[in-house]
Amino acid sequence: MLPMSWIARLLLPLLLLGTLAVLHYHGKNRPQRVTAAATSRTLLIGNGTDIQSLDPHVVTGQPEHWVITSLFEGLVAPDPANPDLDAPGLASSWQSPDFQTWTFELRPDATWSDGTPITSADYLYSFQRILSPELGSPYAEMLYLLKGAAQFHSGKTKDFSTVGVSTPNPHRLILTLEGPAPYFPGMLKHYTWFPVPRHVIERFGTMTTRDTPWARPGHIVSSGPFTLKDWRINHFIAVEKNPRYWDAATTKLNAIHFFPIDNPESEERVFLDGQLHITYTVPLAKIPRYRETKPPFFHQGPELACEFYRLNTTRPPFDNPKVRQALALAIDRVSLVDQVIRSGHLPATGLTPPGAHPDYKPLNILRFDPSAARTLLAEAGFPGGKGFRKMEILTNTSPSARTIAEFFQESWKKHLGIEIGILQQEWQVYIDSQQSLNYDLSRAGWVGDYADPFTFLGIFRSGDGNNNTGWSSPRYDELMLTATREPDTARRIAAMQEAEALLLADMPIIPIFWRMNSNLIRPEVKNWHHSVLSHRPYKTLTISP
Amino acid sequence: MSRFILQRLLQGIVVIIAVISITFLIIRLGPGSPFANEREMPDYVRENLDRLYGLDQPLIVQLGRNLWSFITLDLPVSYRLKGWNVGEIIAQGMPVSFTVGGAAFIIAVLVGVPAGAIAALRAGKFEDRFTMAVSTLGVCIPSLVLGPLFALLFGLQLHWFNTAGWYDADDWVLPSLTLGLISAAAVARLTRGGLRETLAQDYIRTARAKGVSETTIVMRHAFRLACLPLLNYLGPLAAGLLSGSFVTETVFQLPGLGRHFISSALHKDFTLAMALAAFFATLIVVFNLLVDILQAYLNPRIRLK
Repeated sequence: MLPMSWIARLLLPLLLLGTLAVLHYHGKNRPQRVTAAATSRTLLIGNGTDIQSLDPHVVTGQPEHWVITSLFEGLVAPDPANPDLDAPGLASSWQSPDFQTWTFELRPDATWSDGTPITSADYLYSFQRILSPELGSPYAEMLYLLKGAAQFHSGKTKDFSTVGVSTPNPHRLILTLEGPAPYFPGMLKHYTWFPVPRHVIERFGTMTTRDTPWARPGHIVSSGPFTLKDWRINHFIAVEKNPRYWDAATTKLNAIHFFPIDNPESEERVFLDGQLHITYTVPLAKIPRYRETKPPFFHQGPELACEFYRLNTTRPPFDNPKVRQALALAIDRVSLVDQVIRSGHLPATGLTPPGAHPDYKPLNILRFDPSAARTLLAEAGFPGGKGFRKMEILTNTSPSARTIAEFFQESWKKHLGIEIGILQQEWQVYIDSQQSLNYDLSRAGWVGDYADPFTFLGIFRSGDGNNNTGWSSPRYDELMLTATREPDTARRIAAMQEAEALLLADMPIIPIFWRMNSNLIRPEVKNWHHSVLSHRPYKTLTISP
Repeated sequence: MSRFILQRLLQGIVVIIAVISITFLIIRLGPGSPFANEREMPDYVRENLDRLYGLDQPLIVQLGRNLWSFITLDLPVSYRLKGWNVGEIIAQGMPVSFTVGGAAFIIAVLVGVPAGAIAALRAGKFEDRFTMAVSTLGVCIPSLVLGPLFALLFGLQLHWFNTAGWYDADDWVLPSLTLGLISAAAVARLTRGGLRETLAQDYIRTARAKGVSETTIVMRHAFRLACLPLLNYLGPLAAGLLSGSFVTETVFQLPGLGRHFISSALHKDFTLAMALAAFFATLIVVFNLLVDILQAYLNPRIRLK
């Protein structure tokens, strides 16, 4: 007979092996989360970082956009077949004789998810709320197109009746703009224009009380295809079908779960493990391989977004346009995009990306010409880069921003003989440095809010809060004014093209590339259509089991 | 004894208030604003917000107000997660961090202490060298590497567990193993050191000479004393593990507290940062007190006054 200690010694490894076998058996039969979700018609979506709020008036980000548009709807909704086109939303129709005065016919059957009717008074209330300076909405400028909105927002008048909103009856809304804007309906798909429920907001405070819990589970009511079921911080947001939505018969999904996964590598693993239908992004380092192997779940599409560098024109030597042009000419965008970043971005030839407007041909101005760059730099008084002061490129801390900055650093050293350092700052600090013009050169990006070149060109008007280069040009401002006043599309487009050419000749910014959006989508997700403005018509999405 | 505990608790309160104040000052004195946004807001809107949140007041007034809200437990709202009070945010993350951290702590002790003891008792032999080589590796490998490795192997390859997420009852296993094994390495090294030192003491030799069995010597006499340096390490370790780990929570997508530590600092969300610092400081104070009491109990030479 074996002594006790031997039995123990034998039992231990056996127990260990047994556990492993059970784990392995259990693991092999573990159902994928997406399979169970398909049966209950629940879509699982990776949503980047955790959202800051579900109140459409106090947020700005992309993750917020994706959750909010599942809960709320505006007058106009994205067209299910091509989300960049417009379809009726809470307004059944609209018309404008001059693109300046717009009349919207509201659906009499549209209600909030608690059954309260949505009327024109809700829009009046919402526009007044977002434009009230006391609320401090970070995105209120989106409504500056409305007549008198800027004056009200800046506190020059306290009388909201001066703003171009009128409500002749509960189901008709008339909006008057500062000038003709043919692209206006497209703009209304943005959440800043969505109505918010007065009867819920005022249960927790006044119109402009911040930080009340009205937009949290249990309180919030919504107007879109889904309603909020649950929200756990850093965990998930669950929305379920809204049976009171005016078009509920179209809604195919029963629920959507949004997961805030801010680490792209983790998100990819979770997707490959069958826990997500759609990812927010793809790890940068993996994109080149996916582009080669082309698995069926890999999707790429252009975004209405431009990556560029800002030059601080208030500081020498960037007060000299020749220096700015020289720096821009010394960058080989094609090599940067195809050989360094390799993510499928398009090398920028202008600022406004393709797809901003059907009649607006992207400008083809930017080029790579090192010898012209050297000549210009010499003319500016820095032959061979001599005497060029030491400076740094300001970027945020993302690794891709660093890679691009290193490429610029290397290009300028090689072609112009100038030495430039790199300064990385944490996001809030980097934003602050840029806005207070406390930089020489700075990495920047701009994502269009609506389908019109104005969303890009408008920010470089003199004194615009997002200009941040110190650059100003009376002619540019004049052309931009034409763009806001001119009713004739051809003349308007011509004015904007002239403005963009002027901007690129003067070069307060160096456009780099037009962004490409990548994500992973399981093949069972149907009716998914790419949108350059990231619109998602959730109601028509389905999952085939 | 009770006087000692009371004294230490009072000291603890002072420490916590100091930690809250320093966190506030570091974040507020640094550049950047909680309202900074890629889209610049007009100055009048910014001024309005500053006035609303009292950020236009002198720093000392701001500090006083914030401290008062913590002292009276009338907790402020977070700047980033709008409409959530910092207490609610911590209450949501705490169960997750406690589960994962608690399990990690148990793993660290259950693996680390026996491994260290075996190494000490078989000093210089194969068991010792093997354990110490593995533990050196454990001390060197960061969770940033071990976490994804576990996720790939036990998640994606073998499908034993979810690669990430917090849905199933066993989702604590991989993150707790990651954190626990890394901490176990340090625990093993400390146990080995403490035990070897104790075994060389005169009183152990006396016990051996008196013919006390080796098991009794190790378990009853040596181990109590050998635990002392280990205990000093376990207090802060428990506080650290229970308050969540940024890296592990990011790799495994856990809705714990660790991610808030980093994001609140980066987003200048100083109310949340202060609350987290206070929470962590409380854990440290409590565990250090526990360690002191335990040490007094284990070592008769320590008297609590």
